[in-house]
Amino acid sequence: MVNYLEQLESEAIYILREVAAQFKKPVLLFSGGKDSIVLSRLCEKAFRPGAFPFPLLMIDTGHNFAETLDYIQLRMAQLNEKLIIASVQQSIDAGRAQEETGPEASRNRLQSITLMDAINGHGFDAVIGGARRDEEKARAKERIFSLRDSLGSWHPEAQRAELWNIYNGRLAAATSEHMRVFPLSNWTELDIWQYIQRENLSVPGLYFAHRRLCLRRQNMLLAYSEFVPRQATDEQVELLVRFRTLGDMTCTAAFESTASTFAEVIAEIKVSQRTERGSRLDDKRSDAAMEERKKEGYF
Amino acid sequence: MQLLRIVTIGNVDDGKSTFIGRLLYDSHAILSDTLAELELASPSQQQKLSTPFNLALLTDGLKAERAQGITIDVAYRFFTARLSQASQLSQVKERKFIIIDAPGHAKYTKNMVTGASQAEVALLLVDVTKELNEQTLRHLQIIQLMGLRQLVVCINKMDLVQYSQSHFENLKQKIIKLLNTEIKTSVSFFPISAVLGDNITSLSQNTPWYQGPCVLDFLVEIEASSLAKSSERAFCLPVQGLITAQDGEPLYCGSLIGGSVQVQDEVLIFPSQVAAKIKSIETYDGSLLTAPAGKAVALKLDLTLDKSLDNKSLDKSIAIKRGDYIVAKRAGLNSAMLNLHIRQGRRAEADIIWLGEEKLQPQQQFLLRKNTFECRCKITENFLPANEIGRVIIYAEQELVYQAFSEDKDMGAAILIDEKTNLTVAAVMFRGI
Repeated sequence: MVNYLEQLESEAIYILREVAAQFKKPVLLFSGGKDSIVLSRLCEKAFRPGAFPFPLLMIDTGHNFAETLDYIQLRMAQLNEKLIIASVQQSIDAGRAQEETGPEASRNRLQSITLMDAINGHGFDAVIGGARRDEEKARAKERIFSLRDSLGSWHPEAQRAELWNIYNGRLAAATSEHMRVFPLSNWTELDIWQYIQRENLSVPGLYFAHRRLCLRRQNMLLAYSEFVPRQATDEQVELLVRFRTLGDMTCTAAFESTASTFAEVIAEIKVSQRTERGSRLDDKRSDAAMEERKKEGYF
Repeated sequence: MQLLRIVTIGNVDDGKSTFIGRLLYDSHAILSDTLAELELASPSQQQKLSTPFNLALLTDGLKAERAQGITIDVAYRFFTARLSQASQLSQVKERKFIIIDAPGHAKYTKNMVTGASQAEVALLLVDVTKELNEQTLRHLQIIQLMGLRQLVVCINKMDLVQYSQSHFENLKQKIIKLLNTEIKTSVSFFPISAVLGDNITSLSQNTPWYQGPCVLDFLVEIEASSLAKSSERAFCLPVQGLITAQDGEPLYCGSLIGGSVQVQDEVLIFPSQVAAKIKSIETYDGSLLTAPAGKAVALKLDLTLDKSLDNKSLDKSIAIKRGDYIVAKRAGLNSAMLNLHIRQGRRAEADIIWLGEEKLQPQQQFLLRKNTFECRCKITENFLPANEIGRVIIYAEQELVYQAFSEDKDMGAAILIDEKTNLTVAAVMFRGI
């Protein structure tokens, strides 16, 4: 029998190959974050020496970390696959989305509109994402093949049975239902890092300790940026920090850390008393923030 | 590190979600920011209990679940635990768990079946103050039928009967009588209180008459061998798809089940029964000489082996496609190990768990999906209501390739899909007849 990481790897490759076989027009969400980096390696394992049977899709909020954009360019050059960029700014310009205002303005929620427009515009029938069940309590409830209605809504109370590893990817004809597929459902944050280390994958430098100008707001450290509206009580500090999860600059908080290698990151996560998404402002808007956004089409 | 996947079963309100919350809380698997969040979400009368929050909130993550106080769908929780008595025996045993909280409510049986299909161990919670009911019996039948060989029974709410041994023994005997003795299942019983934590991660002072380990130690120590499907068998590869190798030859992709594959292994393709040989095993990380069960691979085949095929018919019959099976025919092994257990035919007997909301109708047509294979089928006359188990005959439009589910879960399981609604409406477990 294979070891635990290989078991997870084989399960994910199996799921990716099922997507390729069961759908006409899949797409892989690629944000340049650690989960999508792992997915991109798993696609190489599933489909090389051939090309990926689907393009990659990045939702660009326009409020990205420069390091993430550089990384995406680097990884895409290695992969030599097609990348589609869907821009939140374009959704705003076209009047499809309305920019939030106020001190906590973020484009996080607007991404769902841009994503749904991209899905409908390109006619994607399966959208592969890197969400994991260990991240968040609503995600802990989701199937690996998770149906979305024509509006992109998730119906947690009416999920299909999903038995053994026999995946039912059927969609109603003549509707714009689509399937969200999560090959990393059974991976934990620790598994992701152990796999990145094993595969020696490069990741954006944001995941390692670096000196950064930050805004201290309550118990959060936000990256100092033109995209992050200042609040009167914000304190400006320069600290040695790293990020545990990467959203855009408005919704991702840093934390103080000296971990600068894979081994140190892994050691830090093992003893951490905080959850991975504890530094996500987008999850903190309400107790059911994730579930509500998922019902709007969020990934 | 070994992985154990556990599904919690039992009637609604017998304490499944609370038990998981207690297990995670007492094994320090809940991080401090989650604790703070849960305290905020818990009702204010919480203070009478020994935890600062409502334990069930840990897995009841949906708004509707929190509002109704019941579990609707399966939640997956991940944690690692070690033996409470670290000095015991040789090295410190540690184990990775995925704990699957399944709903108890009859209406959500399809979700419970979903959870059970992912687990090796079933953990039954029963309320010692209540009579056993139909739903507990149904869950026991389902997990036995679905091949979960290890059953852990937690007799819960022992605090409400003053930790009485006779109450415990009484219920234990009743549960033993409910089990189907034709299916081999190992059963262990634990007197617990999920709300107060007795005998969950440490032994309780309240049950001096109980001599066994606490639940967590038992779970850490369950031997993998008692869970293994069976010893190494000949491999089988359900073909998922084809990719083209750099030299232009086809590579048959899939994940190995049953056993390991080696270059030069002789194989038979099902259902065509064409003979072939493994030319090479390809992965992204390079060619392999051998690959273990469970691994996702791509196989290159030598199809010149079958002398019965002339060149013309070769092209047709070797068009190996998604849904076919590449099966080992390994020299040196007893032929009974080989293809004897693989059955092929358009008619098959099976046990099914009906998950549709409407009754199963006679001659109703379905899509049957098994591994990567799919075809239409009809089911013999049978009027199964929702969530009932039945024995049926399946008539398939194409040849089915299967093994008895009791011999091999991977080769013996299938699902039925209703083509009108696209819902998965039945779990199918083939019988070896």
